[in-house]
Amino acid sequence: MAYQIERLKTDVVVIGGGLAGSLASIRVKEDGADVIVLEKANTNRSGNAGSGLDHMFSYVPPVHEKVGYTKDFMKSDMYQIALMGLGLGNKKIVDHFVDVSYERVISLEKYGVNFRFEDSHLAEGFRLVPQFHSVPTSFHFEGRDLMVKLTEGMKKAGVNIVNHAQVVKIIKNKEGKASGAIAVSDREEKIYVVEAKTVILTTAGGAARVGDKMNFENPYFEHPSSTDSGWGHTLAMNAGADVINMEFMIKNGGLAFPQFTFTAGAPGGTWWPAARVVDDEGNVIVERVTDYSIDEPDYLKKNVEMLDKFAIQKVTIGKLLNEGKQLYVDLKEATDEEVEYIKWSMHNEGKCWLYLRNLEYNNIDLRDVKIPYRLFRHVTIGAGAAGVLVNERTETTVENLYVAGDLMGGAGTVGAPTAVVYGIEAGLQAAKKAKETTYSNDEFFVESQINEVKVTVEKLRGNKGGEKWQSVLERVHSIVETFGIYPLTDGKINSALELIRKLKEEVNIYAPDDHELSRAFEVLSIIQTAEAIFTAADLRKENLGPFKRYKDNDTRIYGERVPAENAVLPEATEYGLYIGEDGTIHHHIHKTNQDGGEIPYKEQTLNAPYIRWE
Amino acid sequence: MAVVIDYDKCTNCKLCYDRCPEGLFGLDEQGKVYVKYQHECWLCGACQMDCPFGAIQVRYEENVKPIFLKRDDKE
Repeated sequence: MAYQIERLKTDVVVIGGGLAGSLASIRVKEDGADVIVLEKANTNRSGNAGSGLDHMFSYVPPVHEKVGYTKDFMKSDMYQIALMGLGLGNKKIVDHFVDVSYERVISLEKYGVNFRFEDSHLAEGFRLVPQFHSVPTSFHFEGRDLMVKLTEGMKKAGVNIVNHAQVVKIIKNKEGKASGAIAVSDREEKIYVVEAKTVILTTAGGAARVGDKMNFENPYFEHPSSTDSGWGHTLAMNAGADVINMEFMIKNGGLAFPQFTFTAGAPGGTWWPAARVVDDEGNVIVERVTDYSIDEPDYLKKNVEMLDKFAIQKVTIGKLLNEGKQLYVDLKEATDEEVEYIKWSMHNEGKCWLYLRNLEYNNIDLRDVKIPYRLFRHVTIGAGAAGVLVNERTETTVENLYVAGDLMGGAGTVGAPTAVVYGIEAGLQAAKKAKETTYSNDEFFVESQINEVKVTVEKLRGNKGGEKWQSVLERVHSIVETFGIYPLTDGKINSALELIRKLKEEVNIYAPDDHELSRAFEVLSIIQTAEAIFTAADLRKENLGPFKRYKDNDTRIYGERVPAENAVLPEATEYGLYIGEDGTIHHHIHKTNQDGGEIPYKEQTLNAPYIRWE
Repeated sequence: MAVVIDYDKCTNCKLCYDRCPEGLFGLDEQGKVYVKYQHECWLCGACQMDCPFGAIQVRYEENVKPIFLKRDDKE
């Protein structure tokens, strides 16, 4: 084993070349600093936006203002969704998002992404699609090749892209500030060492690979997307940055997730409003929804009614599936025009594109098939507000380390719009800071961190008697699938932690080639993510609130929605976890929603007592 | 099998090898591209989208549950 070291130096290093990372890197260049992007595969198809997006929400002034949907309304709407509604979020992140979302999302047009259509009857030629979370409408746009176009944009801007470089460690200097990154190639025996003044971490935020088949995307292959390995959480934790709300990364799987139809789910989503939900006997469980347009004068009222109706339908579907009924999405009644529109949308939206192609191979019209729902009885993953603790400037608890995109904790909703808005923000902030910062690495100190990586790499590659990564992953899955089932109890949590820690001590993987080395690193990250999830659950203990209680198919989010003017963010405790100098998990208490985004630094560390929820 | 390469059309340009988000393609001893880690595919479709020669198909199991059911199978 002879791994070569390649040393590089830049102002800002970006970890992950997906939607957030690419926009961050372009912004850094625009602000006059140099930047290197380390991407584990290829930026052209990187991350959750890799195979396309057809919708993305923002506040849309030319349309929303006309119907009386204000920025304040949108903010209070967003305070109420998902974990934000429990107080586990940062109000300032939401406020800033709403304030700048339009200009930043629409700035994607600069890269040749089409948002305007001749047949549109809306202002600016936009197409907007009703949405059933956070905001009433999303842009409907042609985003299939979004990442290909952004990659061209990065090249034009002079961003230095290093593909096939999987970052395994964030370099810290003697003062404990982030000062670079170490990556391993999955193509050759090479380790990249990039020294930088500031670091932006933008890897994905999911952790579906912590459990077996918890991912709705792929029911019969062994491998959900590797973006869902909790990679960024462990990179940040190991750099000493706080991750928060990790206990919420596992949630009840009682809801119905139709695989392949999830992103185009019915009711709601791409099939809307053309689809019905039917059972095996042909009974209609959910009728087609009545269409309404965003520019109707009583639009707001209609939208709220639709949202309430949608919540009830979702619960009904969940209950029937729980009782063992088979339900299907059925497009029998869709008109030609609707089918064409749905196909346009699917063409642009991620894996729906492949679904269309497969219908073509089989010479099948969308109206000729019934698409079965599948019920997930086991745990599933909801990243939501779980992630790295950041403020609205994307700063973390580690100086010079910035986090943007799906990995942000406390952001309320994550997804493409957050990646766009805060990717650009991170670029702006990290470039500014880099200009005030000088290289600060002590060579000896850096060498010891490189050596640490080298030792791990060589051990994994040379460990011929070791286990395959797949079998170690199976062991994680069996722990999580056994003890991660809701409601969690102290007993389950303790058993899980005991077994995960034992596994951590025993783990002994053999990586026969560069590709499997990358998989082996992922498995190590998955083990650590699982440990963090159960540790956070353990910390929360008796004050778990809705986290521990089985809420009947999650009606809370919609069912208890209050008028915008009455919406307040409740006070809640967030447990921040990080890996200390001694290599063990430490924790802080945060109340980010109350003080509005100030990051509590290490000196405020508390030896967390258990605090009651109410 | 999910990812199928049509070697009559493939020019061995290696674009799929370079772009696959999961690094599933490998090169054999003659340097020819092939699907090395078939079971790690999560059906993102990137290889098929970007293949300049239309030489790749990512296929679901034909007409098998739970992907879709032909209506005439049931009615």
